[in-house]
Amino acid sequence: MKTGRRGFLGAAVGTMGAGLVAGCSKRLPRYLIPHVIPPDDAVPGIARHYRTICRECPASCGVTARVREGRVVKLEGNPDHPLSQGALCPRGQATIEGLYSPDRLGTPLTTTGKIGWDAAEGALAAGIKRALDAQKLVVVLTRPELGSVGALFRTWLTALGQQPSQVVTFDAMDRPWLREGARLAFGANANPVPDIAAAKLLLSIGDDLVEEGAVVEQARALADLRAAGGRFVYIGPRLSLTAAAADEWLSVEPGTELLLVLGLARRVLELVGPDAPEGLAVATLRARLAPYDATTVAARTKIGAATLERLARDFLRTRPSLCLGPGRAVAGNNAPALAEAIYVLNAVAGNLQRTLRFLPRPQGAWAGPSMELAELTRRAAAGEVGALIVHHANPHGYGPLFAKLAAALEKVPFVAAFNNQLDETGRHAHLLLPDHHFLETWSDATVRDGVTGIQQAAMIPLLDTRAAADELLVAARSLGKATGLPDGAFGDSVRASFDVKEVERGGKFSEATAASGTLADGALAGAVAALDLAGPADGLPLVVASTLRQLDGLPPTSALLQEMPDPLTSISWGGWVELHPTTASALGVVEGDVISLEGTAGRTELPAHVTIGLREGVVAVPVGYAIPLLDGSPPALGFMTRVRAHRTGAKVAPPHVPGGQSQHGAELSREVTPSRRLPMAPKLPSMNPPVEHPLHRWGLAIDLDRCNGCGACVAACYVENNIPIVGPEEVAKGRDMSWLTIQSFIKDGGDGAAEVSFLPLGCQQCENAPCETVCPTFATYHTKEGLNAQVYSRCVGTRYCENNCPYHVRRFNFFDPKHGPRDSLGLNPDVTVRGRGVTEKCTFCVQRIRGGEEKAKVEGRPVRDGEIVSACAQTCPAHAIVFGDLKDPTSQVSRMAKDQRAYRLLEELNTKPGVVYLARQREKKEGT
Amino acid sequence: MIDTPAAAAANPISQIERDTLATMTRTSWRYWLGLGAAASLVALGGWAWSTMLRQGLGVTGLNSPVMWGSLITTFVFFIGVSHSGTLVSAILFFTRSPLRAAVGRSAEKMTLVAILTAGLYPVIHIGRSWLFFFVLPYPNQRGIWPNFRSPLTWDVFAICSYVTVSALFVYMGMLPDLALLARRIGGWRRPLYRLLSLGFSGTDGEWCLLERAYPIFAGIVIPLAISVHSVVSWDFAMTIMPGWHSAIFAPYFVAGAIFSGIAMAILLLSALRRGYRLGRYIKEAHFDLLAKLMLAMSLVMTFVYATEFFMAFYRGDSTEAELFRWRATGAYAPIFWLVVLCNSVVPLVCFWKRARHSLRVLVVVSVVVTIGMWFERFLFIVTTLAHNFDPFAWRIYKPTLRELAVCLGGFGWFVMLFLLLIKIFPSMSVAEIMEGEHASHGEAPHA
Amino acid sequence: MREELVAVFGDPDSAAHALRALREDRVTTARVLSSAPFPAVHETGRPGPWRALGWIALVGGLTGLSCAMALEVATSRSMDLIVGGKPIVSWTAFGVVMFELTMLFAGLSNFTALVILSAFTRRSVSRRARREVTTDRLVVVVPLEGCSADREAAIRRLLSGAVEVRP
Repeated sequence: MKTGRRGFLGAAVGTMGAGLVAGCSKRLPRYLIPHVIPPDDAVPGIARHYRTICRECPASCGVTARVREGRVVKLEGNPDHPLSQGALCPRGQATIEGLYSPDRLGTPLTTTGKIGWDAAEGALAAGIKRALDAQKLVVVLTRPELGSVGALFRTWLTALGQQPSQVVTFDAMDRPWLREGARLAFGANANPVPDIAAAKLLLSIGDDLVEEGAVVEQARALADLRAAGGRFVYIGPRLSLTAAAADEWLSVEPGTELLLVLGLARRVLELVGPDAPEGLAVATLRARLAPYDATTVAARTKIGAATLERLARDFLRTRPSLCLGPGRAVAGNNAPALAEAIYVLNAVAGNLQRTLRFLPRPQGAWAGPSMELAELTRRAAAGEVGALIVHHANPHGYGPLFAKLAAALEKVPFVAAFNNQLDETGRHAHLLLPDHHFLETWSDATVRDGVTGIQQAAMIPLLDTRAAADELLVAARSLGKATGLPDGAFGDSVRASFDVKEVERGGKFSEATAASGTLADGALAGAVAALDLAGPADGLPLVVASTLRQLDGLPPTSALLQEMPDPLTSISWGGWVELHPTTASALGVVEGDVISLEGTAGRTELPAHVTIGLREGVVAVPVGYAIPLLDGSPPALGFMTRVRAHRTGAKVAPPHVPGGQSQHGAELSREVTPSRRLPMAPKLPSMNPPVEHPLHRWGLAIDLDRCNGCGACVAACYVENNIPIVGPEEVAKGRDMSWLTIQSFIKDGGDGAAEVSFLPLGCQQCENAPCETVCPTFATYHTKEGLNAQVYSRCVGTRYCENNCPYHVRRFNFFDPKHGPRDSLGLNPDVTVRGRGVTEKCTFCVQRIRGGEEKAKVEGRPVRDGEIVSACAQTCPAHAIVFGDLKDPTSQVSRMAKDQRAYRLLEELNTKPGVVYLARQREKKEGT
Repeated sequence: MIDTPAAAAANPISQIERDTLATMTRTSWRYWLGLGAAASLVALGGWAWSTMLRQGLGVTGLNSPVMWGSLITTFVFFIGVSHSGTLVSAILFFTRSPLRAAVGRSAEKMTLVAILTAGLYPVIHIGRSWLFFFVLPYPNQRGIWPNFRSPLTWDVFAICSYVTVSALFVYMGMLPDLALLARRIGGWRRPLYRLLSLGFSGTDGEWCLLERAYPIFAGIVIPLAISVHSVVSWDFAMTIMPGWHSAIFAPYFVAGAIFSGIAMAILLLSALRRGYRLGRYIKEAHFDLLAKLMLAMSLVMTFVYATEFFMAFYRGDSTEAELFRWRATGAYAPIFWLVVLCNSVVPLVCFWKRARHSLRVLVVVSVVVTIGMWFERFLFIVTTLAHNFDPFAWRIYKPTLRELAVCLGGFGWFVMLFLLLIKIFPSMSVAEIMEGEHASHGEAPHA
Repeated sequence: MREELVAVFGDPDSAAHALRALREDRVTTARVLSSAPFPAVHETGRPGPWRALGWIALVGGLTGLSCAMALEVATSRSMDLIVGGKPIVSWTAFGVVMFELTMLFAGLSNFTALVILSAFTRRSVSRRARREVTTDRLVVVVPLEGCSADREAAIRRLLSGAVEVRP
């Protein structure tokens, strides 16, 4: 038949209509462009901010999610949240990658393959029903859920007729010895919370405050402590970031930390004499501490008796002092005893209620008795568990460490896993249900009494995922066991439980009330066992080094976190094993040799990094790469074992630090001591007229005394400025694109203790910028606001500027740029994506400056100090970086610029940088 | 092709003519072999460059902080080679040297070809070669002009003027020959020459003009030639980098340029002499002179090296001292000592007359010097970048094969252009040779 | 066609000899063509406007200088961007380009002047005569406007050293 125009149009309309009808579905569709009909209050091009919490680690810091056109483009710390106070760690900054990762699951999976949601819900309900019918246990194995979700698990189990205690928390990076130690020292319900900033002397027994636990809060506290004139002594085998931040780094014979602490406690008790804190059973303690006299301890720990004496005296003299630990690096099978001893030491020195406050255990429907992993392992192995709901937990991922648990879980007839991506446990599960990312769903977390953060859905789910809690509710309803459960969607019930003000602030934050607590009589009653290391007797003690990039104890999966070099070793992409030069030469190993490590649990091969930042006779491996060597008798992850190390003969390109991490006399990262001030800045003549800055002269001040090299600034810079990720080969060639690098210089600080000094180095925004003059095309020039602007479209890539930059902070796009997972959706729309053959560098986040200026203009007022902040300054946990207007004499940055410790890099070149550094303060070493 | 060979055979002057035009008239299999080899090198280099264009400069060995490497080395090297040709020719002209007639033209051609080669590399090495015209000063819709404070912009002007002027210099000297060729040479080249000779017909008036214009032009060429290499040296000296930022650079580069240029000239001339049996015109005396000049320059270079080290350690600037210590003992030490051997030691044989008069020795020395000078440029460019203010940023640079292929392509391009030029234009000034011959016959009553 | 004598000589010296003879006989209008600047060329003095060349080059150079100045100052002002803390118009930096353009323009003007002036001078010699000259032959041209037959004969006699003499 012949189709006329009308006929054709009719047909077209008809098919279109059909298409529309078919397009509709009762489920939330996957929007490629969100907001086909945008909400009235969403203005394209204007960022919206949602307060929520970061779930990358159990610390659950408060964050602000910046949302552009319905996409979360960056996380920043929530200034109102007591933990973060506006800051965020590198891992939190890298969260975006997980959100937009192409590996995220969009559909439920069974062992046979993808299935629809209806089928999946059916399978879940059926699995649970079988367990219930068979009178077997239904258990929930979950990541720490300190809020609504945790509570829901309990009520849900109750509704199913199970015990609420069948919620098992899985946290590989948990430090149970701390709780255990507290129980031993203070009795059952003690919850000691250190108040680091309040201390004048902090003694850390291998407790890596910057790398373990609530790092943001701890890093800030540590910096505040030192800024207030407090002293920080770190005792541990490895020069970690925390140790680098310390005024003094000591190490004792591995495993003898307990003796050291007891020795200190004994000495302090002697020194304190009559005025011992009341409520202290002095006599009993004396008796129990008697065996640990200075000579014995000094002999066993190989620490000088003089040093021991000095530590004891200082610990008493400079009160309130505080002793923390043990951290993972020194936690062995006597860790609880060590923790107990440390609490005792604090008690003896009278630090209780001053630097060691007791807060009531956080209360809530989610709290209460719950099954331990060990018990779950036992009962699952015994076949008592009929159905297991795994919620963002991955025991199979930890190799031998949780091998027993993993094996036991094999016996469970039905395992349903909720997760964002397919991990090892997911592979072993019978049903895998893709959960929302935490930025897409509602929940909350109470990290300690009085601090409850609200997890707010900041964007519409990217994929066809569903909230785990909702799925459990659906299952319960379909089984007709929904009594006591919320009837609506779970998210709505959470939202309903907070008022708008709280949601806007990001949580409920009230002042924590200090309760009293005293040393229990049973303290130190237990027999003190010296640590005995498992593993081959001829092996070397293994230090499991915590790093920020591996908060979950697994090698990082985020491209950004892998590309970001480790601040101490500047190694990126992959693991390494650290050796002291003497140890290395004993093994006949040089930098870059591949070393085989074998313990009782297993073996692994890693390239060697030879450094003086480690005690002789031990090897250190970052936790993620040490996993294959650790076997799983709790307490997890510590000096569990000795390992045999020998070189395999293979070699890899050594991690690149050509200067050998020495400054070679170049005074880049400077230090001052009470006796040695900085030299006066040279007064240099210039042929040229001074550069005028009519309105602002933007500048940055970096306090090297606060900086602990964590690298949060680097990660923030990557995310904010769409910095390309080039991959391991290119990084090895020295083509990393990072606009901001943490340069770390390590030197022997005398008496064998190494000292690290960091130098966060970005564009110095020079007034007399050498790079500008040489550019033939005006691609870079000095703006009226003192920025060293880079015009990408004008750049032809002569790279002359990079040659003439004495700081080498300019980067060149050797290939077409890639941005890892963010490439698809997660890039910052405010920042140009540079092309191949173009030079780029730090711009002081010019987009943020412009944004701030426009805001001020619209409100018809001058820009306030601290209103405009570069991404690095914004996120710095230690508040080491300050951004502001150097022209305004009252601004914080110009006040810092006038500080006695202030200096500028390579001042003698007369480049007049806009970045001011404040020299690191070091104390004169007393002879030990 | 020369008409009436029988008549010409008797006459000494047209014997000259035949010899001087030999490079254009006789084409041996060696020529084709050389041309083929050169062309294939160019093809190789072209392919390598195309990969740079398609994938990005990542295919080179460059990294941060060593952002300039073998490509810029080759650029500087050829600028150097280009240097001496015109300079030598012009200087010989002013010194009224009888030697000029035979070698001047080839030297000038070498200059032209070398500068045309050198000019490629800045374009090749930039990140966005397709936008190289951004550095040219012309009114454009982008409203952007080059930055006249940048030494690279100086470069653009210096090189462009140098190309133009040295091309005209060759051309002007060639006018009478072209007029001659328009009569003598047949085939496709005749109309070309007729056009190019601009109607020169050898009237006494024209000769007087030419004899006036030429010295003026020579006077223009010499300072220009010197300025070009000074400007190139300032690409480095105007920075603040230790080992670059030095007042000695301009004279240092000029000396180095003449040095490498002489070496290259010796190679080309000996090739011509061998290939076209021009022993009668390109004499020992020429090579003797060139050898002496090369020797002198070698001594200057040695002095400069010494000065650099002395200053570095005398000034007490730790960064610079560290750099020069590293240059002589660090990762690039082998290259450093190779350079010293090639540029300071080997040329010393030219102190011996017998060496100067043995073409074989001179060719060997010249090859050595050429290699030495290339690596010398490489050395000072790379070491400074690899090892300056921030120890944390120190890094070694190794050129990749593709990079080196592009450099080789440059040498191929150089030889190819030269071979084409000698085929199209006479390699010796017929007029001058004739004049010289006539004068040497002695019976010029009022000479 | 013009009235003139075209004498073809086999070698420079005989040509020079003849020219000298002509000059002694107060024949100053003779022109000589040769394929090389033999001494003979200068027997007739230095005809042509060659003195102008130096001045032209100088003027050209100055033009180049001022063009460079104008270009640099004007464009820098129009961009008005501070680089490296240098003043917008920094003469020290501009000097180089000024020098280069001075030299370039001087060279160009010198060459152009040469070409144009040559074209003028050669017009005084007939095309026919110009065709005669080759590498091995010099040509002497003597114009014969308004000169008697015996005078012509005399001149022919003076040109006796020539290979051949054509009217």
